[in-house]
Amino acid sequence: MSITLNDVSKRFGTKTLFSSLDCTVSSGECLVVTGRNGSGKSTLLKIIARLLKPSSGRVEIRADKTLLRHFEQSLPYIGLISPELAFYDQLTGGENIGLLARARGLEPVREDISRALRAVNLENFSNKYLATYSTGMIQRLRFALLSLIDPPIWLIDEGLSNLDSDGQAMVLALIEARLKQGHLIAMATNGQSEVAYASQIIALP
Amino acid sequence: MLPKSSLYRSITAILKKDFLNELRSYYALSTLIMFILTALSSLSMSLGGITPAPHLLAALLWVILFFSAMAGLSRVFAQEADAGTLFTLKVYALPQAVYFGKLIFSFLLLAGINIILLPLFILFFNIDSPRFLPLLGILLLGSAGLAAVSTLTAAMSAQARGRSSLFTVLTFPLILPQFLSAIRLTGTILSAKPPTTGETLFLAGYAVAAITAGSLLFDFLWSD
Amino acid sequence: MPKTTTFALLLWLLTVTTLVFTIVPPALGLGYLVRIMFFHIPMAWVAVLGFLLSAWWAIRYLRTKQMRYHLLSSSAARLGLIFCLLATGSGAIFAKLTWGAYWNWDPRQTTIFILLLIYGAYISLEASVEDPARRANAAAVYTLFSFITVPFLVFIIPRFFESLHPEPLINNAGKIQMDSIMIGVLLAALAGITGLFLWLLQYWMKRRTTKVRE
Repeated sequence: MSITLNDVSKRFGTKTLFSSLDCTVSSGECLVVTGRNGSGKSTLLKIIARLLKPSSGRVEIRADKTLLRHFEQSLPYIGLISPELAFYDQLTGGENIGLLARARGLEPVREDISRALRAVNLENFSNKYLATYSTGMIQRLRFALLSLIDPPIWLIDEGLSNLDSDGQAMVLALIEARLKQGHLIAMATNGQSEVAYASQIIALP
Repeated sequence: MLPKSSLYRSITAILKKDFLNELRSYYALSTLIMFILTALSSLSMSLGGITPAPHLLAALLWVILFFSAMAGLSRVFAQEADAGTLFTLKVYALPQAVYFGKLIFSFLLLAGINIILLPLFILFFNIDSPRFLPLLGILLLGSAGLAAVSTLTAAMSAQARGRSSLFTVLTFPLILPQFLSAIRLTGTILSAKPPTTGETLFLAGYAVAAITAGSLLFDFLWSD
Repeated sequence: MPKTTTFALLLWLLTVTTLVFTIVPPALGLGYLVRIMFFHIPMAWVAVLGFLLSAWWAIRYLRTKQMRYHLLSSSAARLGLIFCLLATGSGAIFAKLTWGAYWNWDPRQTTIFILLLIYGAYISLEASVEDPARRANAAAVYTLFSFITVPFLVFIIPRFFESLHPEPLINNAGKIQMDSIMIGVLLAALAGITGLFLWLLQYWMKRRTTKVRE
């Protein structure tokens, strides 16, 4: 897998968030986007995920040298989590990630879901409704979702937010493991511990 | 694991989720049922128990159905927008799966409304020999077209101001041809005459056209 | 638009109006009331033209995602609405003067009214969606969907209502029952009103695009 940013820029009205971004990230590599709040870190991740269009430039996503031109083609390869990603309150934790995996066309069995929840220490809360989850648990559930779907590209926006030190350690271990397995990871954050994994950094002004 | 995307699986996942949602927050369903009851009974009351002529009856039936639909169907996207899960679906579901999942759900909701509405309608208006099955058939056929259109307009109005009135304003002109045809056909059936094939085909044709057009156009609505 | 074209358009319209009130002879059975037709028919035509153009530019917008096409589509729709209102109004006046009732839901009145509803819904949609990209997408999709319902409308409406409209001035055999002078003036009026529509469109586009860039 590889992602290439080709002269990517984004403007909202008269305000320019960033311009002329160029870089290439491949499997096993980690891109970290840093910058203060409002600098466009989340926006850049969404542009990479093809949820937003850049004002100019192109985002090229390749799987085994094949260019994935359209949103529907690249979507199956990408998983994005951010503080904005909400779950369904009337469903349980297990039902939520199971639903989203199926919405992706996958067929997770109960064991897969249990395993994903166990990886983030949420196995005991599998049958609890989302409305009962704390913000830290919701953040861990987001990582459970990524683990369950396990796409080759992980886009993580503020991955350590709302997590205590145990949670943060767990997430960092997860990221490190996936990088070793050849996943492509891009993170938007200012945290030093995440920057440590970066093979490339884009610092937004 | 690289996904072997199955559209069918995706659609049923979304469908099942909407069902679970509806069942677990039953207040919404009960409000809808009360709406139907209120509309029906107030009309019957004001007519003082007189059974109107078949074509007027047909018009009344479809007007009640339309406004019940408008009361109930905007939720397919409005709830997602309010809960913030619209974004979640955009990241994790295929656009066509969202369209068909929501469309089928809307249709099933309408079918439920029909099954409640029709017997009550026959009751309240004292209709003799009502020919239940053909009537239900026409109602369902019309509901298919309505579901196709309303899925699209619900998506348009979910993130707009004045959401519920916008939803009605947008939907009405689009289903008008089918609305008129359905009233005509229902009036025919209520007059104890056999429904013409031409008009039934028209309703079916409209439903097919609406579903196809909706499917083609939905992707443009879904992506920002 | 160069001033000469504007001036020419104005002159054309003035000439046509004068002709309608002077040269055109009274029509069979309708008398001088037929004069309203020279305004009503071109306006109804332009109302439909606005719809067609709006749909065409909607397709262009969805294909290319260039805002300019959306603005064209939207401007055509707004102008179409205005002319549609004028057409409906003039039609109602004509109906009142000839048959004594402003509104009777015959196929043509119904069709123009439904067009009015579609335009009205479109304007409501544009006014309610705040995000510009989402607004453009929704507007284009709505225009195209409503365009698709038109064949169905055209089929069902005549069958739904009895027609009270006078026998079409161009009948089935292709023989034109209008006096040749009337036809000439009518065509001139059509051309003039279409010209007016296009002039207003480019004028409005200029105003809209300049405001956006500021």
